[in-house]
Amino acid sequence: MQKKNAIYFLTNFYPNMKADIHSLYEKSKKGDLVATHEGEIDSDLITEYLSKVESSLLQSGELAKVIRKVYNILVEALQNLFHHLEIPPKDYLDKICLPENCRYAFCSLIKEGKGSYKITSGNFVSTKYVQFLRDRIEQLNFLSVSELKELYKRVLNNDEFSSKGGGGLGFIEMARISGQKLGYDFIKYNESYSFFVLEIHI
Amino acid sequence: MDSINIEGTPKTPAVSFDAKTGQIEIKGRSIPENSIEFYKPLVEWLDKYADIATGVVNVVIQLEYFNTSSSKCILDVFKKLENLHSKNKTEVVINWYYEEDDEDMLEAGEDYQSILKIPFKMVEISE
Repeated sequence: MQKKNAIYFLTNFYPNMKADIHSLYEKSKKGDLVATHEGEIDSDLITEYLSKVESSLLQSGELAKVIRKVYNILVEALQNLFHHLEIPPKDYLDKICLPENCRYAFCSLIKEGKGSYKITSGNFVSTKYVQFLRDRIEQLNFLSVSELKELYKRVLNNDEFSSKGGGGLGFIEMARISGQKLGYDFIKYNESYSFFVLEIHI
Repeated sequence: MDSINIEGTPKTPAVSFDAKTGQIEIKGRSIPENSIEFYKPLVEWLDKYADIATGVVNVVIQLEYFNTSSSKCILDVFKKLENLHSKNKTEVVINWYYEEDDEDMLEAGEDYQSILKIPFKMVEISE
């Protein structure tokens, strides 16, 4: 399957958005919205979100094959948020009236057409990890679906396992299931924090 | 040795490891945030079981969804079973179940089969 080009730099499309991270969430919801969340990411939220998506898609008569792809990618996207989000700076949480130490992120699922969906997630990251993440995604975006599959097997079979139990497989699996390049952007918030937006098409 | 019986939840599979019959089953969904916490006692049980296992160990894996961190843990379970097979000469068979139109789940089973040295049987479930 030939990879379609995804949007790499969302801020090219939203040029005034650099200083207004909350509006990235508003943009993520535009269209035929299936599910969305902005705020605390915890285990119960993830269970509820997945359950809502599954019943919405079943009720809409979506093909089982498509539901599985969407669900599998959402599981990885939400769990990446759970494990890797950085608690936002206090001034941002104050601005959007959320409590200090809120494990904040957003995730929206939009239906784009017949059997076609888009997942957008957003979370704060430490600015020092931006280059690592950028390089990681760029490397994966160069690989074909079969190369991603081989990489998945290699990473699966080695002994590396991050302390957060991630294993480094989440991005590989999202890219492989999607079959399209991962869209992403990093918006610098201040010296210590950046905001990471990820867009995955199914 | 005690057997393990764990009920399934929306995010974790039902688990049944029977020390007497050698029937090992993992069924349902495996999508917990912390899979290591869930699978650690199962892997430890298999370590101890290796000291007493005889006869045939029949493994049933019937998963609807599993996340990437579970996939690592499931491989750990399989590697313990592989040890059992090579050290004790215990016969181990992995029965990997998949729904009839779920090619991804079939492929996931074939991926494990290609990494491991124990026999796999792919079992199609008709809807």
